[in-house]
Amino acid sequence: MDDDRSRQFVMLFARHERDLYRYVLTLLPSPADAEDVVQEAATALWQNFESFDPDRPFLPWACRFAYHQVLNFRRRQKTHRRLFSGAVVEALAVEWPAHADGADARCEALDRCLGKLPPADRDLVRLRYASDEEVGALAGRTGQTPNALYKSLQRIRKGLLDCVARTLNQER
Amino acid sequence: MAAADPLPSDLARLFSELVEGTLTDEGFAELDARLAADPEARRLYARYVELHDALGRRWANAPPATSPALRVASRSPARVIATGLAGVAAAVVVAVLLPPAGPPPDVATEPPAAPHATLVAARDAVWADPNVDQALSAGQLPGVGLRLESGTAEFLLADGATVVARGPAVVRFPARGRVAVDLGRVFCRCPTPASRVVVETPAGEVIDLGTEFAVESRPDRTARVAVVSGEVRVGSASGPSLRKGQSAEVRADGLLVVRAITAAELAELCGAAPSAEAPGHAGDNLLLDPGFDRGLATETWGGTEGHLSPDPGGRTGPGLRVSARGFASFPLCRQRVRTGDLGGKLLVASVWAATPADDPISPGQFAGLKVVFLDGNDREFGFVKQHLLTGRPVPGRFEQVRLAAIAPPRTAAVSVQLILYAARRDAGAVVFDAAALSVADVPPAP
Repeated sequence: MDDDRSRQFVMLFARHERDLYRYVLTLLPSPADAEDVVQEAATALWQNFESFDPDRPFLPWACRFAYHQVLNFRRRQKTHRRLFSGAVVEALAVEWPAHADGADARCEALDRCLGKLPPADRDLVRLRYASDEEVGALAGRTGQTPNALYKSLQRIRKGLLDCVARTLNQER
Repeated sequence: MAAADPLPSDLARLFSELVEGTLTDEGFAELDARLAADPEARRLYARYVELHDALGRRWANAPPATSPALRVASRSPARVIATGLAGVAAAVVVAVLLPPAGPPPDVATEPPAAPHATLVAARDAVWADPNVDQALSAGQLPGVGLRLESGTAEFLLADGATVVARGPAVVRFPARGRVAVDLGRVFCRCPTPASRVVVETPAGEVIDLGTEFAVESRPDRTARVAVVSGEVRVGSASGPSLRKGQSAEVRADGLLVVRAITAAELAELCGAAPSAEAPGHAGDNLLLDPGFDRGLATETWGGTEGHLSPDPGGRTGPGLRVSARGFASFPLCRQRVRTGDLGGKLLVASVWAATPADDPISPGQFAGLKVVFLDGNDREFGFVKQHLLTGRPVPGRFEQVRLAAIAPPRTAAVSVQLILYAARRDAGAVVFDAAALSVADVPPAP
């Protein structure tokens, strides 16, 4: 593959890598599994990049490869992994483009919704996502029990999801 | 369930326990059954995954590489990407395509977290402190202000944004996704939502909303912001927004003066002199053919046959009239401009337009300036556009519209189009004049 083609691939993949990861993470609930599959998909995409038509969008093409990698992964792992049923994976995969549409607007709305959180909730969600520690380990720092911290995060995430939907609905 | 309906509490619990790894087998079976039976549950689940990932992306500090195969790489991702772009083996290129941040390291020998930014390119860069130069060259990021005396230095941030500093400048990277410009100019390119940055200046913050923009921080604690594409907010997340083609003077006391950007200003802020004269002047300007001041030359500009005619009522002389006449929705005049590889070039296009008193446009009709990007096979693959004469324009009063964009890769030519959005009406016209295009270099992408 020539330099221009290599450069094109790197640029396209870098631009869409996050979307591809979200796509895979939707089908495989474990982040570690999703990361493995995205890496396998990256290899497959590279090996097959000659067949990519630059006049067509990259992400749907990449998702097709990733979907096959997801299926391969499921075949390899299904004896000892918790996986969604085949029907759910297929439905999620088919519907994902529609579900993912408007992600940029939701991301902007999320920024605004985070700004509306009470400071204590904002600190909590920041603590959760800025740390590599598990929630159980973080609980001691917040003075909460692990169960209470889980509940708080559940409440905050639900609030954020509702806020994003409400914000976008008001802007329409 | 409508799109804005809240997430049911039982699904919220299942989703939350799933992402936290506390969902029981029974709970997982329940979730699977709900997803299988309910399309709305699947939509909400996809949204929840997106939210969870966005929050993780926003605050994650873990290095992106987690698999053993990637841990052996001693170079930072940014440097490998730069190498990959130079055309190395496929395996190396694939290796830089790292999956997102993952679980915490499980061994004590894990390399330290990636720096918030990595120097990926420098051109004639002279640093005030030689130790800074050494550290940056080694892939490290000193925790002090980086004083660049002259030249340019290009940094790749951990989330994919590019920041180019042009000396003299003093910059810092105080946290992930943040760059502090204590003095001087930077140009920021944020290609994805995840890569957005906040630029701190003594006059206030500039919050990227997905864009390319330039910031100049001055010794008197004022700042100048110019938006090349997309949108930024100035001051705070709820502060006023600037869109492409706009610039603003910012003061620490909150004063903000927004005005249209000029090509010369863009070129200055972006750190490159334009290769063509500013719009509105003669010279090498690609759209200014010798007869332009007397009107748009028909041999230079093509367009929708039967809808174009010379008009004596241009802004500075004869212009070109585009009339609705009920035939086409978008009658237009256009010129194709080819200057070799335009990818990555800064394009600034502008035009004046008015609706004539003898055939004014009606509500629903308006004018537009559009720049269409074409590849080497003359196929269109993208565009930018700006409308004008929207609302209720006063007949005979000219308005100017200007747009700026960085041509995407593969751009071999552009088609500049002056359009009347005619709404299929039999009446209504727009007179265009002084269309112009300038092409300038900008700091290259990594």
